[in-house]
Amino acid sequence: MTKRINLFKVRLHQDKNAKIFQLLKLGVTVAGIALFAVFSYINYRNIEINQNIRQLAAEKQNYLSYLMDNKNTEAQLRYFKSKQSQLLTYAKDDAHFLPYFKVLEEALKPASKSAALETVVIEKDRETSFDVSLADFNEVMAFLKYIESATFLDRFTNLVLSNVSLIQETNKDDKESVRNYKFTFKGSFKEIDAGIF
Amino acid sequence: MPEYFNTKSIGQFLKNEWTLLLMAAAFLVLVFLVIMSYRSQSDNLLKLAQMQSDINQLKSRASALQQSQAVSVSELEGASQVLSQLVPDSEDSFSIIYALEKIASASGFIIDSYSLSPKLKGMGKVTVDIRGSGDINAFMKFLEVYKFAGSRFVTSDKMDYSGSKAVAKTITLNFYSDKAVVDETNSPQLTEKDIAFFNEIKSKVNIVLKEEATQTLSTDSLNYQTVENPF
Repeated sequence: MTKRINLFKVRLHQDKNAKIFQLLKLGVTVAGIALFAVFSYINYRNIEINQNIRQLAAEKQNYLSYLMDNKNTEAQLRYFKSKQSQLLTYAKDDAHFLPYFKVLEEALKPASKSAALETVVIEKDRETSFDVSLADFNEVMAFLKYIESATFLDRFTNLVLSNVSLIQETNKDDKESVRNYKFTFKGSFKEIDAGIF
Repeated sequence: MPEYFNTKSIGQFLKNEWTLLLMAAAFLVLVFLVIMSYRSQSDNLLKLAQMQSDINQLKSRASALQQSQAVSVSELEGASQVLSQLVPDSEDSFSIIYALEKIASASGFIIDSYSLSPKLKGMGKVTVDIRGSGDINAFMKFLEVYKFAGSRFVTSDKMDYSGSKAVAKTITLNFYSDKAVVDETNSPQLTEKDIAFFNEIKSKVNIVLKEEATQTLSTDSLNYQTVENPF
């Protein structure tokens, strides 16, 4: 029996493989070049970034040494600011009575002889009640005229004359009876800008 | 198994295609290098961003400090000392009693009574209801000065005054104490407004600042006669 070997079959197969390897080489070369370009770019950027870091480190060192030199000033500044903020917060608790009290004082001026602020109550929300006593009828008229004027009423959001009483008192020395008029008011002041303090 | 995939054909392949294998190995090394470089770049970018943020913070602190140079350290220390007396870090009843005495003497309005717990400790707001006597002028002076005259910051939220009897039935006074909250992240800056704020307070308050006793050594005391030979 004769044994036959087909030599062309192996050759054909080898040619086919060689083509694939050739293509593979080309692919690897192209990908390698691209990858090398990426690698180069990344390294170039890395060098740039490292340079920036070195510059910034030097800058940071400068700032740190400046701040170290002025450590005491900065600490004082922070403390001052903190206390200032506390003071400004607490100042809001204050009702600023003086300007409101002055408004009432002003109201008594037209009837200055015998007029007196009997009692004054002012709350933080500017709610107020006050009693005014007057001895003379003419002064009562002057006082009433003033409190009905826009100058006075404009100081209040609301004001009510809640009570008027006539008190007759006997003077111990001359035993003459003295008439006292007492006016009780209730209302609330309009806000007066008195500044922070 | 195909007949071309045997030892002989592998040997043939290595012999013919060793360049391909070398290229593949070089490619893998390159891939590894690219990954490492990329990682290193990411780390560096993070470091750069962190550094940039640190510098921005330091820059703003330094610039705030530079702009605050209008006031000297000693002035600032004085201001802080005044403010720390007005709002101390912790409360004590003696300071309140002393403040009430000072307010009374500054206004001429006599404080007749008040109640205060002797075990006053800690921080916060202490409310004292006082009763006092004085004519309307003294009372108005009291209203004018009570906030700062006692060398403590005081607010009031209720008053009940009787003009005919010249007495105040109730005046509610609030005293404050609180620790300074120092915000390290913030860059405080001293503005014209702050200086005006402090000047306004300084004009109202009468606090004698303690000056550190500095012992100076006279140079004359060092100029004594010296001899070379002690014998």
